[in-house]
Amino acid sequence: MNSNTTEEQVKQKIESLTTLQAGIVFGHEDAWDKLQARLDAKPVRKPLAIFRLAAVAALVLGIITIAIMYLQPKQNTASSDVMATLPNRATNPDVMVSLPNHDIRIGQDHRSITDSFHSQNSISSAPVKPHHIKPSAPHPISPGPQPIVQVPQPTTDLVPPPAPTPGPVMKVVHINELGKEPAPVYEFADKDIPHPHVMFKMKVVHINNLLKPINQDDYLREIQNNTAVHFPLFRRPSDRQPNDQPRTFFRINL
Amino acid sequence: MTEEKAIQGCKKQDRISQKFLYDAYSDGMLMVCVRYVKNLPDAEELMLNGFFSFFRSIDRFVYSGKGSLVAWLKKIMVNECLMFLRKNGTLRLVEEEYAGDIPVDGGSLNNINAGEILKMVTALPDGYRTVFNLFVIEGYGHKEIAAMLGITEGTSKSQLNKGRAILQQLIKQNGCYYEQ
Repeated sequence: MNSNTTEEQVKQKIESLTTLQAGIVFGHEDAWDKLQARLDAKPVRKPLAIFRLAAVAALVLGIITIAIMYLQPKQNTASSDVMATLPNRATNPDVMVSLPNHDIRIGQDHRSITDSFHSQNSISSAPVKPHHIKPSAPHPISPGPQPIVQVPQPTTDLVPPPAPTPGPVMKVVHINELGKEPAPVYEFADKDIPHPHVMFKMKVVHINNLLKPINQDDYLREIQNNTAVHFPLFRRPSDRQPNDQPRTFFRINL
Repeated sequence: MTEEKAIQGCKKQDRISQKFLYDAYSDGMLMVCVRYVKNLPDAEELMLNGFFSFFRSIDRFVYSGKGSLVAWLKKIMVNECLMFLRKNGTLRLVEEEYAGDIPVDGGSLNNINAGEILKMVTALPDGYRTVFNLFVIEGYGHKEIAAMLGITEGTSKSQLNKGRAILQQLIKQNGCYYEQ
C-alpha cells in the first residue's frame, strides 16, 4: 500500500530529527543536574507490606472488638449467691402466697422479663381503688442477709431496651418489711374507705417453676402446664377472677 | 567509553557512566517524548523521569548488542508518556467500530522537512497521535496498542485511520505533491 511508503518516510524523517533540527532549545546540563540530584537522593523506603498488613489487621480487630462490646446485650452481673426469699405461708399466715416454701435464686439470665415499669398505663397509673388496710401483728423478719438484686434488662420486642447505663441496685423487699410498719394484709375492698394513696413503680416478673424469669409467651405456656409462678399485682376487685388469690409479693424501686 | 562499559558502570552507580549514556541519548529520548506530549517542559520532565527509571532499573537490563539500549530506553520513555497522558486524562479514547481502511493517497514527502512533519504529527488529537506514534513510529501492532491503552483493536485501527486521514490532509495543505 502506498500509505506504507508514506509512513515509512514519516518514520524515517521523524526518527532522524534532532532537537536542533526541530528548533527545540533544551537545557541539557540543567536537566542533568536535576537528574543527578534525584539519583543522589536516597529512595524513600515504603513500609514493608507485612507491617501494613499488621496495622490493618489490628485496626479490624479493634473495630470488631468495639462492635461486639456495643452490640452484645449487657449481661446481668448479679451474684448468683444473692437470694430472695419468698415468705413461707406456713410460717407467715399474714402473707398469702400460693407457692410452697421456696428460695428464689436470682440467676444470671434475666432477659425474659416483662417490664411494666415503662408502661404508664399499667398498674402505676391505673386508678387505685380505695382499699382497706387491715393492720395485723408485725411479723418478725429474719435478720438474714438482705437480698439485693440488680435491675434486669428488659428485652421484650415491644419495649425498647433502656440505655446501657448501670441501673440502680434494687432491693427486693417483702411487703412486710416496708417502713417497719406492721405487716399489712391487703384486701381489696368493695367499699370506698378513705386511705392514703400509695403509688408504686413495679416490675412484673414471670418466673417458671425453676424460678427463672421467663417472657410472656413462655409464661402463658407454663401457666397452661401448671408450671408457672404467678404474681398478679393489685388486680382491681372489678377485674378479679373467680380463681384469683391476692398476692403480696412485689418489687419496689427504692 | 563504549556503550557496554557504560552500562556496566551504571550498574555500579558510576556517575560518569550515567552521564555518558545521558549525553548520548537524552536528545533522542526528548524527541520521543515530544512526539507524545506537545508541551516541551512536560516532555523534558518525562525524559528525566525516564532516565531516572532507567538508571534505577538498569540491573534488570541485559545488553544484547547495539540497539538494545535504545529500544529499552524508548520503551521506558513511551511508558512514561502514556502514564502521563493517562494521568492527565487526555488519553480518553471512545470505543469505536473499525470501519475499514480509509484510502490514503501515497506520495512523496521529499518536499517536506522533518520538523514540519513533526509539527503535523503533534497537531493530531491526542488519541490519534498516540496510536499513530505507537503504530507507525514505534512499530507496535494493534493488539499491543490495544493492551497498552486499554482499548479494543478495532478502536486502535479506527484511531489510526482517522489520524492518517488528518495527517494526509495536513500534508496536502503543506503543498506536498502526492504521486498516484
